[in-house]
Amino acid sequence: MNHCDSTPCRLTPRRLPLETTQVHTLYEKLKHIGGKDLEIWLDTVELKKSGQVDSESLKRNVKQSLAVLVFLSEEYLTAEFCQTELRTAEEAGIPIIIVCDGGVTEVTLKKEIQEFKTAKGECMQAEDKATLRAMEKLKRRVLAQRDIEQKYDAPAGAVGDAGNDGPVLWWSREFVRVALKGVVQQLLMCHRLQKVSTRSSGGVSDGPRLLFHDELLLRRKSQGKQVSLFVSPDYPPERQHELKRAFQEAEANLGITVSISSTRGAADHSVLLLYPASGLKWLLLGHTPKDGKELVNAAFSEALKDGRSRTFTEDEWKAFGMHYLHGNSFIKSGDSYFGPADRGFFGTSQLVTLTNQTLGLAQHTPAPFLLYSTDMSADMSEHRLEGANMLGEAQATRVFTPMWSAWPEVSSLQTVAAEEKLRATHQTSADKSGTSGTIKHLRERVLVAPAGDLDGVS
Amino acid sequence: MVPFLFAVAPLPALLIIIALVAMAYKNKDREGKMGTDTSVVSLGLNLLAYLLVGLGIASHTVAVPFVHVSDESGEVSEDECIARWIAVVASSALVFFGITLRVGEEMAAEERAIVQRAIIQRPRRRLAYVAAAFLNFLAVIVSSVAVLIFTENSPAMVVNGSETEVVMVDDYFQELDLRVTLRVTRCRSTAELTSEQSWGVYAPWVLMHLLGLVVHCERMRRGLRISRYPTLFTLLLHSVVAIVMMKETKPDAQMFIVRTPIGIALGWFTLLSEVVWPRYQRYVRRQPNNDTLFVVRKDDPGGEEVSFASLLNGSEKAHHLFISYKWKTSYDKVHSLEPL
Repeated sequence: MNHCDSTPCRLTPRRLPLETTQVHTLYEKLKHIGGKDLEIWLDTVELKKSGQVDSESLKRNVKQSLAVLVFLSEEYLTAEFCQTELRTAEEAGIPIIIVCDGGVTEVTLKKEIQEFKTAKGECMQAEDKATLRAMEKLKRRVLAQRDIEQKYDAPAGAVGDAGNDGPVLWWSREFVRVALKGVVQQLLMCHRLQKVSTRSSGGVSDGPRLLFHDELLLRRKSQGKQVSLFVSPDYPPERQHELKRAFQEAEANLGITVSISSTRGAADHSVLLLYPASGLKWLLLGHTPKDGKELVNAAFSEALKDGRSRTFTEDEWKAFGMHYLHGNSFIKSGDSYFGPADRGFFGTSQLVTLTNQTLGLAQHTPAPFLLYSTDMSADMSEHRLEGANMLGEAQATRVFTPMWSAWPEVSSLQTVAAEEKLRATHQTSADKSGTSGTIKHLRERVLVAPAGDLDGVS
Repeated sequence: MVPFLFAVAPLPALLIIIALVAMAYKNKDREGKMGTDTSVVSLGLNLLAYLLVGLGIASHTVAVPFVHVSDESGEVSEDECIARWIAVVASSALVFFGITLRVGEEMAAEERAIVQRAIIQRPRRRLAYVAAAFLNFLAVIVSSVAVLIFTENSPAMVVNGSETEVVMVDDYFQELDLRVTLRVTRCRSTAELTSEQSWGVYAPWVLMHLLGLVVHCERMRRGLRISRYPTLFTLLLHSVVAIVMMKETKPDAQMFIVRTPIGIALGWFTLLSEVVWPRYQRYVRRQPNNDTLFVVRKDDPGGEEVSFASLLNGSEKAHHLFISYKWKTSYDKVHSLEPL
């Protein structure tokens, strides 16, 4: 029997080698959490059972769901089935949970919506208009959330048009659990049985939180534990705020007490956030730079003309095609020289000195928290090269080896990274040698790595 | 027939208790999902399946040894031979019937879920499984009737024998042929069956094993629930034992000392694979692991496990989540297809 006579449908991919996509990973992990009690409708699973899924059954199943999880990847809005699902959910008032892939930006969303408008032309049907409204709302939610995440302190309830819309979740390989928790949290919210916090990572509110079993056990163990942190005052104010916010949230999630100070005490863990220079703001240099890396980019040079400073959006900056900016970079525009306002970690000499001091401390002192910023998709190899130039190869290797200490640009994920670091202190206290997870990891690597691989690592 | 009835009489009560305990645990596991009509049907069929398997286990471990005890006396009546045969055949048949019925019920549950989601129903395959279960049961009946017919016309074998013994007679050892007439009766061995009788007895039996295995293989292919491989091993073990016993034509194979250990081993193994192992698996699955999520409130740091089942209770919704995404493969782009 063929069910495709009247409506378009996806047909029998029984023999198609369906690749394991991120969505399937998400599906599997959600099924691990909920087991057979959690009913998830996924087209490929249904296709295996019934052989075909038509657009009518898609609509019906959307309406029969408690919530629709939109996995927003690039070109999502260009797929007709996705448009149908999105529109149906919006029209039926089904809550939409958005899990956003890293490739989605304001530019891609605008482009996809524009493509839809162009394809439909001026003679849009009512259905198309509804689709467009749903698309626009989706875009607003993503951009609003991104804005909030980057500004850190905006109220969570400001997200989206409807007050019940949950925050957009980010799909990151290292922080899959955060997204999973966020999905379940919003699902509970949809049902209105559980009034959980609207922040995907738990937030700082006193509301109920979702914790995995191992996190719950750790929370019980570390209840009441105290950790003192030192955050250098040489960080730009927004970076300081970023660190403090993330650690305070992590503190609440883990149930421990964290004190953060800007003067280093003997028992403090130094927090080092290695971040790249930012090209979003440029300042006029009062002198001709004696050293540093001169940039040559005619378009950018032109853009800086006639001004003492200039601020760009992220997309404008990307459009210049300069993928990585060293802390000592400068560019000539007319007769003037400009340099980045935020020179990054390795462009700030005080922070470089702090790193050298921290890594040179004796074993019995608290281990530093080395965090490696991946914001603005910084070029890792260039970042490392800059670090090697400033710290020397040996120290740079020590700093850059623990790649698992990533510090994502999204604030909810930063909280998780901070939690990881605070958890490490709990393990450290159980370790007789007093060596932190980070340093222990480094030493283990030194023991197993070939000699040439880690030259100069002590 | 009396000893057979005597042996089987207390078993149903015992097995009903075991099955009820098992189902009560299952009921607890299902949380709020009981109470709908389909769940009651499902519960009943599951109970029946467990009951049949339980009867098979009990028959293997209790009835088979019990009816073979008279083997020691050297005198076996016709009724006892019938009881022995039925006990041996029925033990395996009940296990196979129960397992097949459980597969059918799993299929039904799956189809009910599909119907709930308004996707195409496929009743034929389920009917095939029901038919398989019925044929399975029919095999036992036919086999038992066949054995009743042939034993009614030819009573248990009378065994006479003579032995050569070396004995001391007048200070000399002499080899004497001692001929003693024994009044010993035994049940027929398979070698003593005629061709028609063998077909009548073993064809349904073989069919039963084949059907059981085919149905279970289908169950494994569809990935239905747990206990797939232990069950397959149980079925294979029953089949291997059946083949060995068919091939073993000597009368000794029908004796207490052979049948009892085999029956007990089959019974216990079936109990482990069909009852204990699935319960244990369920118990393990119910234990919190790193994927278990808890809602932790400020006033209750202990946390409460997230209950997904309760979210759909009393709701018209069929799913918690509908995942909307764009396929990575190019097949997604071919969204409008010509009718086949």
